Amino acid sequence: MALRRIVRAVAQRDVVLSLAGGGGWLQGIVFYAVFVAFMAFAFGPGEDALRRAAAPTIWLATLFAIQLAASEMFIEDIQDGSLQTLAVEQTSLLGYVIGKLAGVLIIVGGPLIVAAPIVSIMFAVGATNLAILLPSVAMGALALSLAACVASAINAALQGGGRFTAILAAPLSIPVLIFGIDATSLAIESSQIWSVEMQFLTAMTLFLMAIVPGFSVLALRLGLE
Amino acid sequence: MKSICSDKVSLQCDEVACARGGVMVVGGVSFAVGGGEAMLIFGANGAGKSSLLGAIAGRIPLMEGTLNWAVNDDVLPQRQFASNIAMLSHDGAIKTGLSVEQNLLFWCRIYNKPRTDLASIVERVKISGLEHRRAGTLSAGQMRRLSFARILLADRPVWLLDEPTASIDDGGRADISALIGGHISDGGLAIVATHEALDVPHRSLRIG
Amino acid sequence: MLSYFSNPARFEAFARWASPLALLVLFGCLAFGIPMGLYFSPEDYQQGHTVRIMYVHVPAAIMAELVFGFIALMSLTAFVWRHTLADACARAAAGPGAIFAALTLITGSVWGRPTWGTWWVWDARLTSMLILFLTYIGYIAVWQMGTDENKSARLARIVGLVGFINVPIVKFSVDWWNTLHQPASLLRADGPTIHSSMLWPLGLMALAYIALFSWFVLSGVRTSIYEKQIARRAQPLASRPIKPEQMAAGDQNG
Repeated sequence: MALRRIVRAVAQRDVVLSLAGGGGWLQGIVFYAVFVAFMAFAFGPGEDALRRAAAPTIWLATLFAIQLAASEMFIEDIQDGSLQTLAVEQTSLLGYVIGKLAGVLIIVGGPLIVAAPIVSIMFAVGATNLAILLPSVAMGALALSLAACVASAINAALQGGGRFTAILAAPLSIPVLIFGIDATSLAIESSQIWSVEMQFLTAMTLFLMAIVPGFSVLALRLGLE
Repeated sequence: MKSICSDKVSLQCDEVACARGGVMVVGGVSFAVGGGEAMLIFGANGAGKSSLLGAIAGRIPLMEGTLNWAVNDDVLPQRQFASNIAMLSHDGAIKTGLSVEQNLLFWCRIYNKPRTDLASIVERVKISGLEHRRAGTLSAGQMRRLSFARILLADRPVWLLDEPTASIDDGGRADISALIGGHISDGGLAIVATHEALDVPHRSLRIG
Repeated sequence: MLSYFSNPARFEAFARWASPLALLVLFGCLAFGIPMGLYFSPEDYQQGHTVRIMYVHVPAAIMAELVFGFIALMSLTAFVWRHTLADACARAAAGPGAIFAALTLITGSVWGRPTWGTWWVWDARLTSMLILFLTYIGYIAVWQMGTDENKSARLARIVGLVGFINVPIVKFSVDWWNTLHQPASLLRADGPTIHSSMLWPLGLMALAYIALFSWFVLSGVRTSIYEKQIARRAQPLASRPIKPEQMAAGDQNG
């Protein structure tokens, strides 16, 4: 199918580019590690304080790492003419946008999701099974990437150079953050995976999945005019 | 040799005007072209060649007039017609971080073409031997040839070319003229925005 | 009705009498509302004179939310029917809307100091108003950032619509977050039922806010109409084809 073919092609290209270009994928995870270390310094080495800070730290680090990476996700394709070519030659840009999102999730989201249990060990979380926080963090990475995607598309259309994405993404990210931190806390503290918070987080993610690709395509096409 | 041009494509423009930044840059353009023809759009810098080409490509909305693409005399909406167009934009759609081959492989997937097509195309645009070089290390002329390889790979009846001979030497210009000539003698249609003459049988539109 | 006003000339004719009328209503309401609110209305048995902040705060809060609804409605109108005047309305509404939201936050904070003993609490309403304010800032920034007015207008439609859909989600999530993390030890802004001696000045002040907002929107849209007329006059001449038929015949060399 044409859509799946384009999604795969774009995602694959972005992954190869980030591996070849000396570190798109590194940028996210390094930022994440630095942020986590700073939070540990901020909260002090006391185990109680660290345990309470575990879920917020994971979430804020994920939010900022994704926003950092996604804020310029379309700029390069606009500057080198790739996006213009695709917009003219393809019937739809939907596959392209989904491919870009998949690329961000693989390049930035993937390492962050893997790092979340490691952070929770470092933050003195005593849960026996650390994989229990993965579903909420993975869902959150998806939702936050979606929020950053539409903000980045609007920003690119305005030729804003990436500075502006955070302001546009903030209102969309706040509900994700609120439910996400609670969902992860509950997973850590009482091994609840499918908590009410997780259900709301899922609902928010589905909502963003429904509106983000369409509006992003619209904004990108506008930017090309 | 190819089947792409078995369908007859045509474009009809009537009193087309298009804007850039809300200001009309080019207006009153009327012409009709069909398969087997090349049309060269001449004009000074800033005359609106690129904008007109953008309007023809469906990227820039029209301010006035009508623009109809047709396949075998059936008029198609621009979005549906898009899959008949190969576009060479001002920037060549090249990822400098990828090798020549990786660049072309990406477009192979986009156009759904087998990678076995690549060898002959690389030869036709005369960049064989450079396949494993990083695109960022190519000269401007070689870059232009690489973007032309993508146009050949797309294998589509309509070529829209924006300054195909920019930053290219005399030999390169002859090669590109030959490629365009080959395309129209296969029954394809080429619309080229250019500031210099190309050695192909063509009709011209001067704006200014 | 919306289509009726999509014509600039008709809008101008409407604004010519509606604009002074809005000012008249504004000053009329203020003339009665301010003395009633600040002097004649009773003070609260718990809060004393602080309650008078309510006459500024409550209408501002209501307007801040209504105005974003207005922006969304105008964005939708522009989106569906391509009325560019609707874009101008949305643009003109954004500034006052942001000021209403800021005013709500500031007066809420001033009121919170004597009542709650602190300038700021992460009360659910204050928090969602803060996020609404952020949304306004984002919306305004889209208009400010772009170099091409036409493009900014169409991007602003997207931001207006997405932002509007997001408002109830934010409200819900902030309510959830607030009740979960803060036990209900704080006073809520709604208190006892409102006596009619307070309702009158409140209603007048709300009307004054609406009149002020209408005046801002009418003036903003008129300004944008004039700006467009000036820009059209200053436009450079577009390129035209140079004798296309002759050229085409002359250059034919195949």
